[in-house]
Amino acid sequence: MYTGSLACFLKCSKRNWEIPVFTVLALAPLFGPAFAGGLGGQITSVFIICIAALGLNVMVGFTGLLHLGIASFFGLGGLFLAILTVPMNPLEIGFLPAVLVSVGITAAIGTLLGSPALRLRGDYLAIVTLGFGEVVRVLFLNLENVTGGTQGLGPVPPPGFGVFVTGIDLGREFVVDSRWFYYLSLVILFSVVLLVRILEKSTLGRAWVAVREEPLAAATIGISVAKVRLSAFTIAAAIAGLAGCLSVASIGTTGDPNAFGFNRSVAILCAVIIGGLGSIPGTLVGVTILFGFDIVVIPWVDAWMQRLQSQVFETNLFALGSWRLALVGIALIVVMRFRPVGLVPSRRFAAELQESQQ
Amino acid sequence: MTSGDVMKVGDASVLSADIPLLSIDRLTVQSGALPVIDNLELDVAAGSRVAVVGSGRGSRAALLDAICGLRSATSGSVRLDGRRLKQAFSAKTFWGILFTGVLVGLLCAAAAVDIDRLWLAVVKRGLVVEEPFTITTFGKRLRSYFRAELAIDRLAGNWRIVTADGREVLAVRRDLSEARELRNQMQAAVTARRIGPGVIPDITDLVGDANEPQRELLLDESTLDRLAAGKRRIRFRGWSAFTFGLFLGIGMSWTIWQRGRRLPEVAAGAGVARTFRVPRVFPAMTIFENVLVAVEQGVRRKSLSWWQMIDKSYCVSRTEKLIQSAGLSDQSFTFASDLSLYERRCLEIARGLAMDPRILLVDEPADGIATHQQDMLASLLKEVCGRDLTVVLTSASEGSLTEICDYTVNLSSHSV
Amino acid sequence: MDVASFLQQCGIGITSGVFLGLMAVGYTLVYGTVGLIHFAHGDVVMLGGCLALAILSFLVPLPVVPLTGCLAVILAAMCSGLFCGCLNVCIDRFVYRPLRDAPPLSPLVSAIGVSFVLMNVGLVWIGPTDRAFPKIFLDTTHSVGGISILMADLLVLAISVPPLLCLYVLLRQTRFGRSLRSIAAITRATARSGEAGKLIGATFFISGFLGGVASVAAGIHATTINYQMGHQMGLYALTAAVLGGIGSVPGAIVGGLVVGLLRAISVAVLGPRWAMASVFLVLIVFLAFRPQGIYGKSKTRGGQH
Repeated sequence: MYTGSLACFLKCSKRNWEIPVFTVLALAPLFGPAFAGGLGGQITSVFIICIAALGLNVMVGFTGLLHLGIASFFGLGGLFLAILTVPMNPLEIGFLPAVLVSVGITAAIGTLLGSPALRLRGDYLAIVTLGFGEVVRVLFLNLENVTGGTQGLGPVPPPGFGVFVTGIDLGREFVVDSRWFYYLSLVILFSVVLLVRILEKSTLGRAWVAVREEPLAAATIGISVAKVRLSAFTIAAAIAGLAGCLSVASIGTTGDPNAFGFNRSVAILCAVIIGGLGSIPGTLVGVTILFGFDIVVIPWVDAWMQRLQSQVFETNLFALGSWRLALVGIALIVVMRFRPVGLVPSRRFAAELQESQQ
Repeated sequence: MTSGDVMKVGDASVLSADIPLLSIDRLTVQSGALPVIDNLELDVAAGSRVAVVGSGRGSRAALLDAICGLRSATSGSVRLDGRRLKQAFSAKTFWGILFTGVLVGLLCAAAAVDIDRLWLAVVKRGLVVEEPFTITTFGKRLRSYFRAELAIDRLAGNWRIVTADGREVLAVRRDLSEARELRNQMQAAVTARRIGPGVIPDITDLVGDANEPQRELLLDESTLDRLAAGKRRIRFRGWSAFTFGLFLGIGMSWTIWQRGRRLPEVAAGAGVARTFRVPRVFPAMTIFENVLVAVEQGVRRKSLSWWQMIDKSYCVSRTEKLIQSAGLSDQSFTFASDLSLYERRCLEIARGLAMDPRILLVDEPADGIATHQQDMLASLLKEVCGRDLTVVLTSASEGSLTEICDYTVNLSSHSV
Repeated sequence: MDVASFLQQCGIGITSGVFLGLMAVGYTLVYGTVGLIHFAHGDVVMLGGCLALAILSFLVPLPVVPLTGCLAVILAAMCSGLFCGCLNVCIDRFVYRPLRDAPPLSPLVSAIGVSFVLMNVGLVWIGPTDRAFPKIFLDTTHSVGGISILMADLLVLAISVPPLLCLYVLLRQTRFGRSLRSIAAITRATARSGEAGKLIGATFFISGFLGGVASVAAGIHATTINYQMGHQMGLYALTAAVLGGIGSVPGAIVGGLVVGLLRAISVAVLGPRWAMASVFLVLIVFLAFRPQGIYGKSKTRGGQH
């Protein structure tokens, strides 16, 4: 019986990479003793960025539109969650409705921005989204009463889901144990992966790919290009907003608005492109490499180096942290030079590339 | 062709149908300053097959582009069944444009009345004075902000009497009730100043007359004037910004709508399909998907609203039928990027037919393929073209493809 | 706001507009030839500013007389121009050229990568804080009809206008300029040939040179530089290029002036913290009405086959 189910598991795994990956991730906290420390939280933040990157992938990968302001939607989602839940404001609605409302508002804002922007040519769209990102960042900084300015809005209560079963206060559990958030973001990441896969194979997904490859031909077979692009833009905004909600809930505050600026947007975009445009596993790999490196590896290496050679060098010129940006930059250049389709390219994108090189 | 020449071909009375399916009226298309099509008149009857020859390749492509909306005509019109291939101004468009205008207006108004201060006044100040947050108190505070009334605020244990936007502190008191009373007096004075004497005690009343003990003058005259003007100022700002935003939003969405009126998808919705000289297939999709995406769009366009599900099995079977008729059924799961030029042409025709068009525009089908392939393509076109489908094809030279046509239009010598 | 202070702000706006225009020309030239938004341009300019800072701090401790000060500034502008030009050519040679026929987003991502590397170099070079740019005129002002003119601003104009005039002559009057202007027609196939390669290299050099001059002007105008200056100015300059119609050189200059004026006026009316937001909002609204920018040509959609 055990061998039977194992064989079934392996068979499924061969076709769907998600099954083994998510099984391992779900089991990881049970074995890793490091989880009790900061590692669990760090991995959770990588998951959250994975979600945002999947949203961006819908737009850049499937629909082929350059979006340079995804982090602003990430920030907006988080902000609305905070506004709706912090005790400072009188609304204080529960976590779940607050997430739904803030994702909805973020999607609406995306639609509003998208409807004029998507009638522009590709490069102009990039500038408009870039500008929108900056506008949002500036608004965050300046509307101090609404957003809390540079300090951010907090404390956001942990998601209790209104559960008070026989002595278990779920909200308190979330604060005490980082594994709760780990599992929450894992579940949401898994559902977003499924959602994006379903979308990819749907009528809408095919229309996205058609618009990406031959917008003219897509228009002549009756696809209304602007509307299809707008749908991708809205979905990207909604997913990024969801990720923002999770991020704010796990950190407990919206934090410094500068974190939602251009640099974050570009970092997420780079992760998507390094992983492979239009490929879901590629996106996850790209984010894991780029942000895993940034969030997990660099602090670790630096702490190690500091212990090792704090006596030898006086300057911090040799600390990895002070060359972080350059390392990421060089990684981007090298990957684009030698593997322009990304690390885990989707079959579709590879076919298109082959076409363009002929 | 020289300017002013009017070419009249395929006169409606000569052809079998009474109303021509496609009628082109004095069409001029310019590329830069140069007219590539000059004053063309052409009527095509339903069910006929027309070959367009002569003139340059650019002119022929420009004709097809102008018909299917890829290029806008300098002058003249293209009609399908007597209707222009343009999106009509419907009630939906009207409400959409108005909605955008109001939305942009509201955004501008929010910026003008300082949404940040509004938030402070409406949400945060209520918490300071421990007023419950209900619809009534919310409305009350909102109203008091737009009347620029005075409010009470707390800083470092003291109660301050501030202007509605919190920018100006008028007095500081230790005790809340004392602060409230003072605020009410001040407000009364400001309101009196605004409305004029008689309604509410004027400033002179507060100063007191000879009989009563002298009362403290709460605010000096200039402050009072400034505060009294607050209501007018904020209302003026809000309304003028709203009006500005309304016009801006209407203007923006009107421009955008105008630009999107004559797009290929509008023509496609009316039943115009076309293929390209260099076939534009979707390379990263299989042949099956290439056709399926068009079938689905056709079905959706015909019958469904966006939330309804598509009848999947119907789409799949129709796709298979189309692929079979194009002669590609043995390789329906290869990527379109792997196809030869001839196969791409066939695929494009199958894709064009998928949306049940009234008219199919085929751009240079004979270009770059061998003679026997041209024959095959000709028989394919002959097969698909029936009573309901009109075919217009362009060609550089005579061949088997022009032979299947009912008549030939020569763009350079203006003849049928 | 009365007329005098409005004119004052306009003066500031035009001054900053001129060097934003210089940078915008850099974006527009590169876009016009290789069709790429050269995201690292701002950071190249920032490094030029760092170099100019080093040169000026080396020279200016000598007794400051306006004349020698001016000479020092011109020297610094030339040096940083040459440096930025060479840096730009190197970036093109080693990063962009191998990617000429990669998918369209690859060069863009590489440009972002280069931008990260350069920003990091700047961070290590001048540190994370603002660095004061040496003052040449020590806030000397002249008053003309109620408007006080900062001598430093005149210096900014004096070093940024000549390169623009030179560029005009170069593009209009020489054979090189004509081929540069027609280079926009380069297709991917011909972009590999030697002649086109040289032209692309020259374009990158010119855009870098103008950027280097702009960096000195920006340093004098803002009196400080920091390692994120490139990013901020880059955003403004890119906005200017898009507003003017990307790919068009006069458009970039006009766009630069418009952005400079907008920024100065919104600083005066709304305060400095709203400057960037208002400039971008105007851009977004403007593009809805005229997507191709002020001088850009509208593309007919069917023109490509």
